Amino acid sequence: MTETNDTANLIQEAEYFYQKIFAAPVPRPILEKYIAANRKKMPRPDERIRNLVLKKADIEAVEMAWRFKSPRNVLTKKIHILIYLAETTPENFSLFFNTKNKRFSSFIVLAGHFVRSMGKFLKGKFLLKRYNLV
Amino acid sequence: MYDAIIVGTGPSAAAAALELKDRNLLILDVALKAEKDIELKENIFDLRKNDKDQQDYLIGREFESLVNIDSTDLVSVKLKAPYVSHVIKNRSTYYKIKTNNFSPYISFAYGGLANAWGAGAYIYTDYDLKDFPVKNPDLQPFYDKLTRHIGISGKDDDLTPFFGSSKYLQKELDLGNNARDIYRSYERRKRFFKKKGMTLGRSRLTVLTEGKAGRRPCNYENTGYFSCNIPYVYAPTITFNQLKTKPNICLKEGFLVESFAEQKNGVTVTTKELKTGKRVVFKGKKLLLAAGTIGTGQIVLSSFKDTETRLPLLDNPFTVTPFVNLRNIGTKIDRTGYEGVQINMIYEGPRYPHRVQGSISSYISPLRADVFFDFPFAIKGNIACSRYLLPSLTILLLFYPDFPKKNNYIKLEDQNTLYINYTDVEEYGAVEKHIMRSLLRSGFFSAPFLVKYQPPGSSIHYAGTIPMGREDRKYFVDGNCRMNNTANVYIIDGSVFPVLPAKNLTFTIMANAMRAAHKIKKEL
Ligand SMILES: Cc1cc2nc3c(=O)[nH]c(=O)nc-3n(C[C@H](O)[C@H](O)[C@H](O)COP(=O)(O)OP(=O)(O)OC[C@H]3O[C@@H](n4cnc5c(N)ncnc54)[C@H](O)[C@@H]3O)c2cc1C
Repeated sequence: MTETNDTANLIQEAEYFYQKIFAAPVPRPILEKYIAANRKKMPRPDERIRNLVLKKADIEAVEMAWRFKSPRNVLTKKIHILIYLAETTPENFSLFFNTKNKRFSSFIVLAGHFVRSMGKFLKGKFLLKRYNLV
Repeated sequence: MYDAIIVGTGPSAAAAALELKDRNLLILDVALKAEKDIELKENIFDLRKNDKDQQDYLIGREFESLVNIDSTDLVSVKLKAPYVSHVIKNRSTYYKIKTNNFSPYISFAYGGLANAWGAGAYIYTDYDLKDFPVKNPDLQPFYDKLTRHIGISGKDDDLTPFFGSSKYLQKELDLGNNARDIYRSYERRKRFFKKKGMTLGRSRLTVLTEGKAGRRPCNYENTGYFSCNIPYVYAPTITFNQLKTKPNICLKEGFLVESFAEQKNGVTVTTKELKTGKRVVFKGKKLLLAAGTIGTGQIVLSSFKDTETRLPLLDNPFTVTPFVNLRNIGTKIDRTGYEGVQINMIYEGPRYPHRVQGSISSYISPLRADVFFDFPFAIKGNIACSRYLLPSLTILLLFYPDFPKKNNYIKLEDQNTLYINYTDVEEYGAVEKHIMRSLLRSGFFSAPFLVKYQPPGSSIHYAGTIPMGREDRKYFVDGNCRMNNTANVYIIDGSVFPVLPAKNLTFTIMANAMRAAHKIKKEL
């Protein structure tokens, strides 16, 4: 794969992942760092990731099921890089840090995520087979 | 000829140099430094909220902080930030290190490993020293002298019998939310905890709560995970920066010590000057080796060209148990607590044959991404956990003692390769379960499957390679830390501990180094 192709793929996956996770277009500085970090940490392009992006797979479902099978899989690593970069961007501060006491509502939010995550996990198990990831 | 040559600039070297400061001293060190000596003056949460350039010191231009993503040899969260990672840089470059079941943290930095330490400073009582040829009264004057030099905060409480008197201590740090809840609960249910064999109290930390010698007190900025330059936390560089201005003290940086040889009336030290690759030899009346337990062992074996002997290696086994403080789920970020250890716990009871020491802290300043995938939810659920669960996360590190064992050792494979084997390991878990059950009553929830058994080496409390006590044998030191069969070679770091109590060791390494230097001073 040429470097131009590789860059285009990394841009596409960063845009797709960021949109799915943060419901916003990926900011340019994060995009640039994501590309550089991937080049350093995971220099070999992975067709499986490319396929997931092209097929617009439910990335949260696939990632969760894959993580439970194999915690250090390539998708989890890529999302981890994105989380490191997103977290250290001031615009995302309030996503990761709670600045007001929200005792009651946080229980509801966490309970909701528990149920949602169970659903994602079951869906992910099915998708792992469908995309031949295990 | 120098009066004394000291190898290293870590805590042991600093304590010895302080005692010998009026002699003609040469200090040799590789002395790696951070690319930039940053001091982060604002509160970490303000920096995280406002600083557009935060990735510079949180992630790094070379993505230093992402080191664990593509490596199986995981680096401690405290040692991976870009302006901290130099502390263990080149750890397997100057000589090769092969290991079996051991993660070695070796420092070639100016100031040694203590650039990044947790600052826990605890004296050894006679209980801890029962297998040592020295006793607490031999060390106490040096603990006191160091306490005044360094500045240690803490207070008298139920742990005083374990941690010693609070003479010369500065007042304790303020408690953060989770630590306050545990401490209050302990105060209310003291009888219950005592029955369970658990004693809790405030930590003793080399963190200033009052200004000292131009250093300011802690303002709870909590930036210690991202910079080594925290004026209120003691690091040996503080001592060396003072000492190196004296005309009788020569600090040579960029020199790797390879070996020593005893001569008539002194010792020669062969070094490699790293800039030129040239061998340079120095001569002193006395040699004090303070290159850290593993480094010193390597230099000693190399000096005797010994590829046969196995030197015993001690390392505190430890476990990490996360607790959720049910009261603090969904509370706002804690700006009041200190990022390090706030509370200590001693367990003494039927579940383990020796005293076990615990350190309790909250998850304040490290990156959320460092624990992101420890949560069991889908990605958005894990983001919610970072936000709502982390303020309640309370972490218990439990340290166990270590004793010499047949299969835990270091050995030279050849002149350039050090081999570390650590395969005699015990099973732990009973004490953790017991503590979990006891803390549940105080509203702190955990479960046995959450306990993480850390790989050997990761406590970064190393000792025991050239122990004191056996007067007759090679690779032992006498009660004054002079190596057997030598006239002028002294080992003054953790190497000389014959056993390793379940207690942070560095303050005792320092007191013992100062005690040895005190004796040496009289001979010079
Ligand atoms: C993250 C972390 C947290 C810690 N927390 C605590 C704590 O809370 N409490 C506690 O008691 N301890 C703690 N420790 C451990 C503590 O830092 C060490 O016990 C202490 O630094 C050991 O001191 P030392 O002087 O023996 O050796 P080191 O600190 O290892 O210093 C060795 C020195 O020797 C030099 N050197 C090594 N080899 C050579 C050579 N061949 N030639 C020239 N120079 C050489 C190095 O450059 C360095 O300056 C922690 C450590 C870490 C990393």
